[in-house]
Amino acid sequence: MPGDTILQVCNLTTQFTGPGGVVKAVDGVTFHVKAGQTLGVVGESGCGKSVMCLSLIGLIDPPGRIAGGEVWLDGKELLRLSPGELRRVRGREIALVFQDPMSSLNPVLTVGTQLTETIVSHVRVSRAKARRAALRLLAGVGLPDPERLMRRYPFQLSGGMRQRVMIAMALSLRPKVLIADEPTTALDVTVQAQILGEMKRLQKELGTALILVTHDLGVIAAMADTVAVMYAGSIVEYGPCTEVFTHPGHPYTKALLRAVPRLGADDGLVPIPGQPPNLLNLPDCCAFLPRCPLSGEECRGNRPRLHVCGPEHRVACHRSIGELQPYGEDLYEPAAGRRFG
Amino acid sequence: MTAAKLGQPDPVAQGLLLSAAKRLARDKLALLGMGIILTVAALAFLAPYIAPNDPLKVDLARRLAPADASFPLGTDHLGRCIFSRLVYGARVSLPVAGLTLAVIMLIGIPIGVISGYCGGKADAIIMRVVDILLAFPGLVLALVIAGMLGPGLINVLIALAAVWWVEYARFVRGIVLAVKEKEFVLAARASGTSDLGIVTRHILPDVLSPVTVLATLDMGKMILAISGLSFLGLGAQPPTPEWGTMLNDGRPYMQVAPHLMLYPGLAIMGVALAFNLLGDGLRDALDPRCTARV
Repeated sequence: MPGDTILQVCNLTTQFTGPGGVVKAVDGVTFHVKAGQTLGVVGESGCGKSVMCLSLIGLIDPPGRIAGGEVWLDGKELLRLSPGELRRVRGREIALVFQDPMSSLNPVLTVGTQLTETIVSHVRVSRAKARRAALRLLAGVGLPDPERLMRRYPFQLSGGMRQRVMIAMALSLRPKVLIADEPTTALDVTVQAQILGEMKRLQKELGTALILVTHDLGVIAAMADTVAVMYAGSIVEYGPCTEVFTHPGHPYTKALLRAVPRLGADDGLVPIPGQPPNLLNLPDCCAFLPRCPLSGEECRGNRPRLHVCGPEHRVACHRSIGELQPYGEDLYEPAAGRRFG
Repeated sequence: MTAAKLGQPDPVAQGLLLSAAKRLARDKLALLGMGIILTVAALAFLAPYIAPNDPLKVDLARRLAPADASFPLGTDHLGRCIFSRLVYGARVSLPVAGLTLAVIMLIGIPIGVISGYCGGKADAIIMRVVDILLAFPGLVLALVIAGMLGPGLINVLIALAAVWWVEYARFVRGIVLAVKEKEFVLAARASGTSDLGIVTRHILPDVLSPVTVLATLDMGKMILAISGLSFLGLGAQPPTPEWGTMLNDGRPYMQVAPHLMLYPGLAIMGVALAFNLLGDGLRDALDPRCTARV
């Protein structure tokens, strides 16, 4: 049913143990997605977006491990399933589209073989039937002449076509949740718009819940119902898309929004000063502290937890309580940060 | 598998093999190698019709005779027809080499795949065994094993397989390690493909073409090794005509009748060379990056 919570993630924590210590790539992430809705996950490179996606379906290889948390998909706790049960859930109930369509298809198999194999490996259907389904799927993602396409090798397709094939493959088993990890990052802007439009249409048709991971705020604004802003492995702000964009609560979200290039803006890009923190042995204080213009004494003490700052709107910041400012007020003096024309 | 179910040729396999065959057809040296191999294979297959004489018939009156009309390459120290023995010898060398290689691949490829794909302890244990075996000179170890098992072609096969599988295990493991990290394998896992499915559908196809090349090149080495062990008296036993045994038989007469060693030697060298030429050609033909050359 649309509107019902289909995926509930509680306190998901994924760690990588290396010679230098423990890297908390995902640190206590909590969110939920409703059927037919889109959650946009945004954050800069290395903030744990992709690891979080793989953690959701238990695809973390040593030296990494999922150290804690629960992933409830439609009444099932995925992280407690046996490897065999989890394998049956993958693809069938929760599917993943990867960032790079160039390398996510096997170069030595035709598109048709890969699509039909995916279907046959999950559902008891004849190969001929799977083939017909594959043809329908290819047409469904807006690819012309599916018959011919089935015999093509991935290298004979453009990036956009390959990503469409990947989406067709991910949707082939009608999963309840589709995770798209930067699905359009490797594509140019016009193709990106087409693919996103296609995904939105299919999502409406199939009622799939979509988790859209990106570092492109424009994509989030166009696609998402809910936004989760990630920083250093944690969600620092979470709320309805319009709410977060118009009234960002966390200084990091505000800074991100200010760093988006805009046509016609005369003040140029305002970068966020400093570097993202090293996730190795992160201290128990606010991870954004060294870059935060609002930081105070209380920020050094303990890590801020998500707290309510509006209906459905959560922010993890000690200083934003009662300090919600409408978007647009200057947090950074242009002179303080470097300016990019 | 797909082809059989649909009842029509698999366009995938056809497309790849066809382009590879086209590239191979342009490689003159590889064609020469293939020609030699096919000729020898045909000779072996049709030996009873081609051989002018009985390869086992002893005629001491004609011993060490030079070539003439009825004995095209002369006779050996027992008066047997050398040409007939060479032709019948191909019936031993080629199939035994092929069979040995098949056994080696049957052992080496699965072990290599397990080692590369599973990793961890299994990999560590298998690779230490491989290291130990690789630390010995292969042919010497095979010699020891064949010596312990006693003479005979089957024992030569066992001895060679016992030392040679490690090369394939290590080779395949390397390829599997590289392919395993590719994003399409992660994508396949994310869509719920089983480990067996990933290995058969995504990893083995990448393993097969380099292994084909290695196996073709190794056919030459295999024929040399079998001939070598036979030369030392461990392989085919007299009076079976086998090239290595023939070399050994001719050794005492090298001064007076060099043709006893010359012709079997040429046969061994020719076939080994032919397999090397074909192997080189196959390596180029099966490498998609060489497409530009066509």
